[in-house]
Amino acid sequence: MRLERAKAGDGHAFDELLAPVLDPAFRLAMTMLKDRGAAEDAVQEAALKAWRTLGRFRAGAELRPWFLAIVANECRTARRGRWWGVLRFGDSGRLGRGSTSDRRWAERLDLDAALDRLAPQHLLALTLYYHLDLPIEEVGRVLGCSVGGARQRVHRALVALRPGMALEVDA
Amino acid sequence: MRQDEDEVRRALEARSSEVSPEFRARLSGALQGGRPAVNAMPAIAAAMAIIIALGSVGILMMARSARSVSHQGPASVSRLNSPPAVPESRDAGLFAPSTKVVWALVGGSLLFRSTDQGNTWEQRSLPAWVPSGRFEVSFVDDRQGWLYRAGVRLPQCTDSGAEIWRTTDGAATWKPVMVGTWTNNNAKEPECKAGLSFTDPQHGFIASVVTSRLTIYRTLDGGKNWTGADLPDAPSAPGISQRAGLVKKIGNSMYVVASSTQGPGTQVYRSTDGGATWSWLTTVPSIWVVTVTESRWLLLDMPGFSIETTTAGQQWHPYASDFNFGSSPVFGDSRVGYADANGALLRTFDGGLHWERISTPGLPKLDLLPITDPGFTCRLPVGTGSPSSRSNGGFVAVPRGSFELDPAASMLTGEQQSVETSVKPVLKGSSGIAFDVPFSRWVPASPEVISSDGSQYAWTERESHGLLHVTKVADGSDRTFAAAPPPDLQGHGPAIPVPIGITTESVFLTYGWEGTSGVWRLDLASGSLIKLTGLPSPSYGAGTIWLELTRGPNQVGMYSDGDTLSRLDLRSGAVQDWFHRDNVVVRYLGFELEGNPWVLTGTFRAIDPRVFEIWRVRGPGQADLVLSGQQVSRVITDKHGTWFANGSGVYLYSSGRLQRVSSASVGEVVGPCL
Repeated sequence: MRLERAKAGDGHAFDELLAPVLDPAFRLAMTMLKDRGAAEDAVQEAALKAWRTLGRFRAGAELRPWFLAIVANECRTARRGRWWGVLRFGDSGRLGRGSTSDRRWAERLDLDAALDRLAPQHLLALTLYYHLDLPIEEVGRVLGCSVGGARQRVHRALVALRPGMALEVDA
Repeated sequence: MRQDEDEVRRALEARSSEVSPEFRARLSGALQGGRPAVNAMPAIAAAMAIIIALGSVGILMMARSARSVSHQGPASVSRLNSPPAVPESRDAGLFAPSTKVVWALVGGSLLFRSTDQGNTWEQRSLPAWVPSGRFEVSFVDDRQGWLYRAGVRLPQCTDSGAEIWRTTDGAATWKPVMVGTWTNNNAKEPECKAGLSFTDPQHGFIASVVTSRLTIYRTLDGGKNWTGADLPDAPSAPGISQRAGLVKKIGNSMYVVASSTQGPGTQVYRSTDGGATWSWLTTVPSIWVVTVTESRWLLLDMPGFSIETTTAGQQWHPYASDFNFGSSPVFGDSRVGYADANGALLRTFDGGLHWERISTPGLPKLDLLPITDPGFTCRLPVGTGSPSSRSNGGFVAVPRGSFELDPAASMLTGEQQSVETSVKPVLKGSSGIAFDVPFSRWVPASPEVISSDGSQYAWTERESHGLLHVTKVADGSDRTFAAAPPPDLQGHGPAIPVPIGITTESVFLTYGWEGTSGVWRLDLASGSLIKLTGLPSPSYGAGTIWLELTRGPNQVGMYSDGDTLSRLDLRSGAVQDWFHRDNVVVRYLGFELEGNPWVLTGTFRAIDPRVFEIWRVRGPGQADLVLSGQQVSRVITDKHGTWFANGSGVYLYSSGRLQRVSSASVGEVVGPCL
């Protein structure tokens, strides 16, 4: 009923519907954009767009992959926009804490730079699978491809991230 | 292997962060404010450009015809690279320094220049490190341009290694002119920056990206030295962090639009001393506002929803532009402008009122049909949105006409989230728009749920637990049916009836709730409900039920779409597959007078371009491909043939021939041609 109430324009219902998927959506946006403000913009725009186009959401479909796909598209829009030219680094404050050795720091800087260079679709695939820990089936739904296709996308992203890094992607 | 995986996880985790309680609260507040109407949230519509595919898909399958630029110049300049064969993205960043010259950065890696308003393009070069580095470009004419290369980012968003490069030969060669020396109040400011914009060969601007304070840096010597000037707080949002767009010079003043991420409104600032100091000017509805002249600004959305101010933001009024979903435009002067529309460029010669499509350089040419005359004239009713969204209505004159908004089609928001016509007798509905020919009026429902004689239509009042209405078009009177979920659906959660078709005697409906669909026939005389099938994703057309089923090995699409169109025989209950494609989404579009269906197929992906095809199905296993690379949401058949429309124009299929009869950019056809 929440879904239908949200479709009818009930903001409370849509808010409740969205609440469980807000955190993965924001983490996806942060990973894609590396900027809290931009990520909040993207998630907010995605939320409003999702609400506005909720009529397209078919009963029976899962909300999380649908919404994450919209967020991913918003991130893509943000990345292409002139508003997004330089991204923030270390905003989470997790990187570079005292316990991290200089060597590991340098390695992560290198890997982070490699993530920066990744094509958006590769970064998205890695984020969905390795950061949000979505099942590969759901990764496929967000990416709009089959399970096999999702597995291949993650694999390609890993290769693009670090040539020679060819990991097995679990079924 | 596992160690590498852990490193990837850690690296991704380091980029990420949890959602803050403040943002949750802010988002909740935004949602409680009501569902965004298009005219109230133009930014959404601008972003919708990526959803509404204005055709132009399937282009990655074709060859690129861009020319290479020979590598010339002195040995001291950066080595120029050969651009990749096909860009990863089809998006284009546009720069229009004058009425004749326009630059396009396509896919973030290919640079093109046109000196004839986008009719022809010439590929130019970028430094060798492109596309691995992050950069922006800006041009002031056909030869002089600058490139901002972000440096290595450090904590607190600093990038002291940032560089400014310059070309004076039309991007044949590039030279670095500055490395990371930005000052503000005589202090070095290595903060992150974005929004490079030059207004002449000496004067350029770029904004900081920090959240504590917004600074516009200015150079007076072509990019060698940069000095910052802070933007003042906006009166309506003191202390709110903002991010600035591009500085634009109009007359003797500089303008910049800055968005707020934490509070209401987008602010416009003006400088009358060449960017040395800035003052707050006004608040505007969206960050997508385009300053065309000192007083004339536009917020372009889609037909019926664009607005204009000729008083520098003091008053806004509706603007009858045919702009229909695209990026925020750039203007070379007060008349000539360009926009990016998801793989194609749009161009205007009249200040934004009318837009035409031109091909995106670096990508295969859009293979649009030429506009032809079908040999008759008529007025085609069209909607500006999609079937699921509320949209405006109007007419396209066939042939060659543009979209004309019909004020009689405007809908008001009624009680309990319903919509109702502004024309009496008031007709209520929940979504969609159609033109009812027998009664010559607009109806707030999709064409599929209007009876063939035009006398009545069905809709669901969703706030009242799914009360089904059958409304008479003549006087707005209606009958309501509780249409409670049948016993086999009860206990599985709430369900509401969703009408999919109507005759004079019956309403065909499905029930929308999580995990169930099916088709029932509601007898309007007795109110009895008869189950016809439990299969999902039904449509009703030409007296039969069409189902979108999954027959192939994989689920495709993000909406649990089917890959097969099947026909349900209402008499025998037999289901027969008519059209199937492995790994593509199949959607029912409508039917011909003979009753045969049309379908849209698409390889839906969240990021990649989508490849659509429109098929005319003649029978089980028999179909003709009508058009590739175009997406439509509906076909309507009348005595002239089968009509469909989208952002690329209006199409008519008749006697085995497809014609493009108008270039009007619209959402969908919502009635037969009059």
